[in-house]
Amino acid sequence: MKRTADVLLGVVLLAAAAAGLLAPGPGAAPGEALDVLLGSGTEGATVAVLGVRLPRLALALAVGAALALAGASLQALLATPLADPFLLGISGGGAAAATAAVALLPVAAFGAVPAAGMAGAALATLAVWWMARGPLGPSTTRLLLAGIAVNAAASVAILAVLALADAPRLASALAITMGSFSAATPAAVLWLLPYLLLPAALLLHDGRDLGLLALGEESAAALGVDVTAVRRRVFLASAALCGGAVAFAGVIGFVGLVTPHLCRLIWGMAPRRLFWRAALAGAALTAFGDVLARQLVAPAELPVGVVTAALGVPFFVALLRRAP
Amino acid sequence: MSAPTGPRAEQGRGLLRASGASGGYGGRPVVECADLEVGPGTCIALIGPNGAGKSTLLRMLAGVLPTSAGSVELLGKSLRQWRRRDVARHVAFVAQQVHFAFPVTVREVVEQGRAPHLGAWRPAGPADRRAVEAALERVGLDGAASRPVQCLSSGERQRVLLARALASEPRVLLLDEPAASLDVAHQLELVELLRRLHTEGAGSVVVVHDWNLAARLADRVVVLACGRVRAAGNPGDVLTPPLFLDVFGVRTETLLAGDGRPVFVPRIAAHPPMSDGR
Amino acid sequence: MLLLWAAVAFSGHLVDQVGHPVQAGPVTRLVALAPDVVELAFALGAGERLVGVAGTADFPVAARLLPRVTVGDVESIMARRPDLVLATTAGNDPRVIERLRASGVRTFTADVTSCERLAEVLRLLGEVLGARRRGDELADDVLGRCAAAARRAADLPGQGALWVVWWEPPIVAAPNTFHHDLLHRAALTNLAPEGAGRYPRVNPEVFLDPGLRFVVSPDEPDVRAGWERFATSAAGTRLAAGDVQVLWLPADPASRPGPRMPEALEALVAAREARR
Repeated sequence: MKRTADVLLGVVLLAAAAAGLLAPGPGAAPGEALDVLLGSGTEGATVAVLGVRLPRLALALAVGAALALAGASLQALLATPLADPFLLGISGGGAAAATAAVALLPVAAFGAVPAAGMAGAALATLAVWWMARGPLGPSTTRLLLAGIAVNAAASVAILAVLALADAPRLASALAITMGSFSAATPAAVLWLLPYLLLPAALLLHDGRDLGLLALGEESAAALGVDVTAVRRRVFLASAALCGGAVAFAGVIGFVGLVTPHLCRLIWGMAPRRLFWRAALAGAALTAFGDVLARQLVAPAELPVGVVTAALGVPFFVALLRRAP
Repeated sequence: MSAPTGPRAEQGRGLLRASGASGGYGGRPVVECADLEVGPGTCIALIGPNGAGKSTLLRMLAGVLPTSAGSVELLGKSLRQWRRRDVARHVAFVAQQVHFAFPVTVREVVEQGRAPHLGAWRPAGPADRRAVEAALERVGLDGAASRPVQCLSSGERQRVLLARALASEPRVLLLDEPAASLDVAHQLELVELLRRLHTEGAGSVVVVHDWNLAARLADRVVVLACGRVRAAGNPGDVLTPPLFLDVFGVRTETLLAGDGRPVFVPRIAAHPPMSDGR
Repeated sequence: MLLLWAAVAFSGHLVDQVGHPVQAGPVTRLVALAPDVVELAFALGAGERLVGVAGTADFPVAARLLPRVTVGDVESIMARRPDLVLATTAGNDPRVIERLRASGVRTFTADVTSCERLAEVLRLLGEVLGARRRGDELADDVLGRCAAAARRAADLPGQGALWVVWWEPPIVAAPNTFHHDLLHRAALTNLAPEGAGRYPRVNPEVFLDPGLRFVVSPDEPDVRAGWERFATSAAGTRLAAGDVQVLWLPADPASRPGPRMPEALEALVAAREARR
């Protein structure tokens, strides 16, 4: 069963990658795109497949993996299956700063928008951590409540930006609030990689402790886990994952919530077994979401956050109804 | 790693010792100035009315809750000087109930008991697997190892948590009301199991509400009320109707069982039990 | 169309371009909620009756001196005590119009999606403002100039084009917009999709479509800056190489469906002729 699921995961991931590169688009038909991959494509198709689609696919995969990993680790950290990267307000903080940048910066300086998103996410992280610090250190409940507070502040900031921004810039601001990979460049992917790989390494290191933490902090402490230190590291890792994702792709919902759920059903809750599979599944889901976002109203495109939510919600409802 | 495990330390000081230990939550002391010592092969029953501080004292002994005054020493060295993971190798703590947020099987939970020995990276070896199997067998769950914990009764869950504690092969077991959800047969099995563990050299501190169970189980009884130790000693000396009336506010009749052991039967509540409110 | 005129004649009512009836009656205090309808009012000789205009109204010069209203704020509109409010589907919130109507304010909403619709709105609004002759003259003039420009463009080869209103992310004008009509009259085939709204966001890859030869874009600083950034991306390869030509039209009037639309069309045709 698990072996089959592993193989299936590999197949789905490959299929998502193939769809991302080969699905029909205005720059190259599937046949032309295949020629490009086989090394005999026309110049125009090569630009479309390797120049436009490949970075876009890579960004979608990286962001999907980051979101699913952030969701899985936050769920274990807070010992609740309800946690997702949005819950702690980190994405909200990043999105608020990015939309504000889009509303205020000269268009020529839009290259700085991801940096603003990062700064916003970092600020939100600090705010959540500061608010959650109680006399006994940050507890699960305090973290969740602090996240709700930061999220509320971020929503207000975003709405204010949307209400006050010049009409043409609304399009740029809305693109951030609903997520998009359309501006993907190789540079963006390279920038994002450390925000994916360093937290992933940290989570791998703390995987066993995180598995203990998922069954309650007191029993984890009794089993030798330094709860405060692990919590701080995992929180920072999740924050970096969310911050990177939101800075380069805007707000993309439900990947971080649904993917860990589905994977937990198949592979169980042990972090080291679950996390990398959740990351791959999140990558595949997001890449597929982006393909759909491009295909459904081609050559127009939907915000990818809309697609992932549309895929995720019914799925989540089904999971919820089925759960014992 | 650097735990002083020499025989001298053990014989001289016992395994786990609280001296003048106080502790609580958010600056409010719940346990004040408690003394308690667990030696190898001995069982201490911790009894007292609700809110007396039994669970708090147990948490302090496990090192999960820091002491605000006094100290808890493991093998002669203050818990503050131990690394958490090394404490967990020697001391296993079983809380009353654990909330299982995620679907997880019995074996997965019991395997967690090996975590203190494995650290962050070492994979489980044959010795670890043996310990897990032995623990499952001891609590009678070897047949249910692959069942999801969510589907178990609360009594079975309590045994799962006990098995997790046993899997870490501790020298001291701290059990918070381990018998609370067990049926009579399993309560007797628990007593047998703890007896065997004691003959193997483990010490234990067990919070119990059932005086008769405490009498059967323990070498020593410590009575806690209002966060302070009211009495401590052999069960026969400590568990007496005057104490029950004093601490629990209950008049008690003492019967004699067939084997000559006393059986306490609470008759009537004379006054409310001792608590902070009084 | 005949039926519509008949209805107006019989009931003393007029219907605006979104189907709202407009009560007949004198108009002395006029508020216009967008630059294009401000221009319509001035073109029909009702400029001195304007008592409030949108903050973005800048043409003709006289419009800049008029009191401003906040277009999203019903209260600021009502404060000008208008007896008619002019609005447009190109930028006004229909909910604001609904609230004004619910408060008993007469409104007239223009929905100009083509030269014909521009001619129609000139006639209708001429009627409402008591400038029927002027309206008819302007309408005839618009139709004549549009037809003439289309005749000039008929000599040009039909080629694929997009009208890009914003570059970050790329947003284009789809069918059922006046931009689409202008492209069509300039013998350009709009590659923008139907059914994804009037101004859909497009897959940037569309700028690599071999069928795309021209991109029309309003010449304003933010749009230019966005284009410059876009042209450095892989999707902008053909734009940067000049393989896809960008026709920069003066943003005013090319960005507003007002009475100067024929000017925008003539500028577009001229730009095409210049690149022959």
